[in-house]
Amino acid sequence: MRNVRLFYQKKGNAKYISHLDMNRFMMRAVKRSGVPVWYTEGFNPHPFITFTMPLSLGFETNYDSIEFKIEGEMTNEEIAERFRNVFPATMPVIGVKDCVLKSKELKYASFTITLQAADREAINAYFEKDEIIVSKKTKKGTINQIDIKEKIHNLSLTENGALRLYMVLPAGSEENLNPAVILDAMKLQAVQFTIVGISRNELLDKDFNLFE
Amino acid sequence: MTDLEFSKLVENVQKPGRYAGGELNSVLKDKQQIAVRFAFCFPDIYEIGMSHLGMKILYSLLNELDYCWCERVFAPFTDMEASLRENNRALFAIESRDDLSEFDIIGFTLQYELSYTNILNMLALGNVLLLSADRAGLHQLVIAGGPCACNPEPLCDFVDLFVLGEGEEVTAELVSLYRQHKLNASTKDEFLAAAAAIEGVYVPSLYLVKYREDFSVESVAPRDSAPAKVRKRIIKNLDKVFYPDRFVVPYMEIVHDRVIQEIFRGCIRGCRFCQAGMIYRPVREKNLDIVSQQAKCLCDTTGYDEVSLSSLSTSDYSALEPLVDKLLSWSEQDKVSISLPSLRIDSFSPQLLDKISKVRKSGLTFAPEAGTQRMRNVINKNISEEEIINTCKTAFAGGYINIKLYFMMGLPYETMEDIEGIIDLSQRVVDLYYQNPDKPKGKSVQVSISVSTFVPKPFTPFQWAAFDSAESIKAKQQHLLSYTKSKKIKISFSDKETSFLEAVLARGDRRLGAVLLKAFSLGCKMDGWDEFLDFEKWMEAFAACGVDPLFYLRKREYDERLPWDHLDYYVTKGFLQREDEKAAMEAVTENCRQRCSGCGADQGGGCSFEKR
Ligand code: SF4
Repeated sequence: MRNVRLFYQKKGNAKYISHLDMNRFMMRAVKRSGVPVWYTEGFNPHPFITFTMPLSLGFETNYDSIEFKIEGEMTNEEIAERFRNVFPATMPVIGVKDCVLKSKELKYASFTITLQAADREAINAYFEKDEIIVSKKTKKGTINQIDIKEKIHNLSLTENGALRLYMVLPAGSEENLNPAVILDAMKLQAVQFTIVGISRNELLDKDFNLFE
Repeated sequence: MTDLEFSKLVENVQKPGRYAGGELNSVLKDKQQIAVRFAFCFPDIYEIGMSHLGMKILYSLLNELDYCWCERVFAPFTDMEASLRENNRALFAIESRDDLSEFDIIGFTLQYELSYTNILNMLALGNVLLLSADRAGLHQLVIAGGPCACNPEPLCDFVDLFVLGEGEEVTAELVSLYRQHKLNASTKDEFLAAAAAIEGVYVPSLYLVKYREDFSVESVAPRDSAPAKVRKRIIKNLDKVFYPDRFVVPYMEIVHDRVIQEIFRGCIRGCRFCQAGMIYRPVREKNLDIVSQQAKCLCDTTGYDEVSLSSLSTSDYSALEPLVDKLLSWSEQDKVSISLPSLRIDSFSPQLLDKISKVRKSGLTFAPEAGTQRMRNVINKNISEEEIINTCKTAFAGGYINIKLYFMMGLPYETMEDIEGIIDLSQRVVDLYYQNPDKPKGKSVQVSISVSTFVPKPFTPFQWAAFDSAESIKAKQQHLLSYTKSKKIKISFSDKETSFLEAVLARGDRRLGAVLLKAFSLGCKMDGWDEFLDFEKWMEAFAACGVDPLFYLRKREYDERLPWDHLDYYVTKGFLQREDEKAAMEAVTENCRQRCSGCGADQGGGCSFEKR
């Protein structure tokens, strides 16, 4: 048995599939693909798969992955091909690789947020402040006000018809920051914009290299 | 609608997956190449509609035709409806996201009387004129079918034609006819006249209904060449009828999220209150090899890991054990589980029961329907108290601790003793639990009883019966509660306003069209949902139209002309009357496998059991 990761994208309509529904989708996709994924044992056996990093409802992604164990002989190319055949067009398969890193070595994710805003300067100004305070739910359910200024990496704002906000945020089992939290905080500061789309571009390790 | 417009529309909507589409096996076509665009409308939300087998069948069947594109439309939930209005958008079909008004044929399925206002709401949200008479062209033809089409009279103002009976053949014929007439640029009247010649098609505008002074129906006169009686369609051979080789597989969870495999139509039992048991006659079984093949194919194309066998009473399939063995021959290897709903456990060998993993241990439901043997004889529910007790015994021995029992009250010929019988029986089940020597320690039994109010339905032996009065139901409910001694018995009643409206609409006539329209204009919709039903508005609508709802709840005489008498579901009125008379005498009728009781359904052919 070996551990592999299947990398795929989630585009267009697929963004309306919630994480919970993705899970059920994957179970059925594995079944239709005929890929010898290891099943759990017991009363109600099902394919054992884990999502590297759950994606919020409404987000697109260029780089998402699931991990599973393969029983028996099948090349990564063939596995990828089989998934390609059963995934919808809105979820193109990038490929299959043997796991290089452990899931806990995932540290960051990069995002592109496309906005419509009349006042670009207001957005610039928001990110140039000394601190950026957001409300964040802790694991215990209480809400904390925290400064996340230091946690935003590689921030950039470009304009090309719409505004594009690029940033790298902590992601993974230890720390996680969802860009929606920042957008909510911006709204509270009366920064005016509408969200056109949010896309998670890449998953990254501690050195900002691609997570594989 | 662009993707951006769509995403704006669903921005604040709770479950965008209800409207997003793109599911596995959903069908996209190039609309330029399509002659007939068909909107299959389910007047309830996505999760409910997508669970419906009839929709799956017709969706696949229509999309097999190269000239037709069938798309799906569901009732938007309240948040989506608000968003549609706010954004000034019309209700649209899931596949193309085109407005409902762009469709040639707009077809509704009538599963439940309380979905009628949703039909009006969907048309209105789709910018389609509500009244059939106002829609002049052939375009936007509104059609409807399904069980409630057996008395479609309350909907006659809105619907251009109804499809009676089983839809596979007749829908295809209808769409083909429509295509010809569209090509020839026929008028709507020309098309409707031609459609009325198809067996199973009822065009209400071709019938003139006259009422007596007391508002009962005096006559129903067909115009032109329309048949005096419209017969429902029957599929004679279930082995040959179209069955989909794929289902649309939703991403979000729906009510029945699995492969549904039909095994037979009709029911051998003949319970006198049950409309399904009468209007789906005759009994026709599907060959077990075909059942197995179809189920396997559906698992392969959907990836589902569960198959649920579908029929009105699974245990009555003549070859159930061989069928389950056949299914298990591939399902175990494919890691697919088989579930058998509406199963009578006592009729099943424990070994086989063991193999079926999906018979869950959490709870067990059972429907004695009435509390006393006398009353069960009246309704022809041929289950004895011993059978019920034995089933519960097996269940307790198997570790079940929650039993759910379904009963009805307000049945014809009912007395207070029958009401007490509900509790006596439930109490016996509780006592039985404590007599079980192996009962799990530290756990206690719960017997939940759900008591619904009986609603008399057309084409049943009780179609003439009165709907029990509000006072009488109240008295019975109170008595039931005060008669209950054990805390282990949990009682729930059906909503009285829901049953009331259901009863009015089920046996209604065309005069209810105005009431429906008024109720809708007052804001009534989603009436099947307790939290949305606004009974006062309905009463206001009845009053505004000068229609007394109680008129529809009264007992009818055998010689009264019933509003649906010009429709023919094969089961004869003579048979129904005989059954009602037997009910009054507490006499039971044997099931179809024991003895054919000459219901008339074999006239259409295909009955598996009638004596030849
Ligand atoms: S014709 Fe006879 S056997 Fe067939 S459904 Fe009717 S009563 Fe039953």
